[in-house]
Amino acid sequence: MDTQQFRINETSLKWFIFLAVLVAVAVWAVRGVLVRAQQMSTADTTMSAFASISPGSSAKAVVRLESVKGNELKGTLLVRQSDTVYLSPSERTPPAIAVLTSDTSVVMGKSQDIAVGAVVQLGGTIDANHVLQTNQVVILTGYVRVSQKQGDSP
Amino acid sequence: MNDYLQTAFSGWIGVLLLGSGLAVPYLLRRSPGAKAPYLRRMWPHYWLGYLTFFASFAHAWFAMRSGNMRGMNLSGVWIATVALFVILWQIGVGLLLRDPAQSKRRALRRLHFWTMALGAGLIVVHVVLNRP
Repeated sequence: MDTQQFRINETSLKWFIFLAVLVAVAVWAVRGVLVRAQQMSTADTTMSAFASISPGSSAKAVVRLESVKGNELKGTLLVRQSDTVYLSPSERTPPAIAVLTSDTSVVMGKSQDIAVGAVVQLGGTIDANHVLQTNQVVILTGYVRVSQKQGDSP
Repeated sequence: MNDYLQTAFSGWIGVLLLGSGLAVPYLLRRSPGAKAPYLRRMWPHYWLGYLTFFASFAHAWFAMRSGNMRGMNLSGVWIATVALFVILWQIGVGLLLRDPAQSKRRALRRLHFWTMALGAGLIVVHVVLNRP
């Protein structure tokens, strides 16, 4: 019976370790990119759809913040044109109101980025007063463009 | 999201190419039984260097073609711009080192090493500052 032992020389071992590190870093990077891409997949909720969401249901909306007072956020709901372009409605619409809770996580930015003028995606649950109790805020400022009114070229 | 995917993947491909290009000379340096001269065996290092530049250029192109820089850390963007020029400079120094008759090899190798350290440092800072 052949009793030859498996042997690996030093050069092969070095290359093996190098390739293993390369693959590990590539897998880590790809995973990170895909997780972020998933978090960035933006909502397409119109004002009428948002207004008709029943209390207790989960909701997601992309808004431009018009007012930030403590934990209360008010913003204009934006209409999605493409992944990176959103339109501000041409006529005045009632603001979407949201409240930051202790469970709110901020994705792709920091809490300081939640400021007037910021474009954010709010995710959470609609309460009885039709206020969105947020559990996630995705900072989209810099990643999406807002066109001032429908019909404008982005 | 496609813009993000293109920018992110080209950036990470650039990082992987840079890391590979950086490691290859150390892996090739002591190869017992190698018949070809060291400079000829270094061809993967040369090509990884050129590809690093092209991947970095593509990354910069994808990031800037939208013309929307709001929300980005501008220091990080400037650092990345400097890093791109450092990579180009590094290729120039590398081309000089490819000449087997190079008389200033010692000084150029030292410069090549420290340029690599500078470029890698700038890229790490860029990743930290501009990662979403």
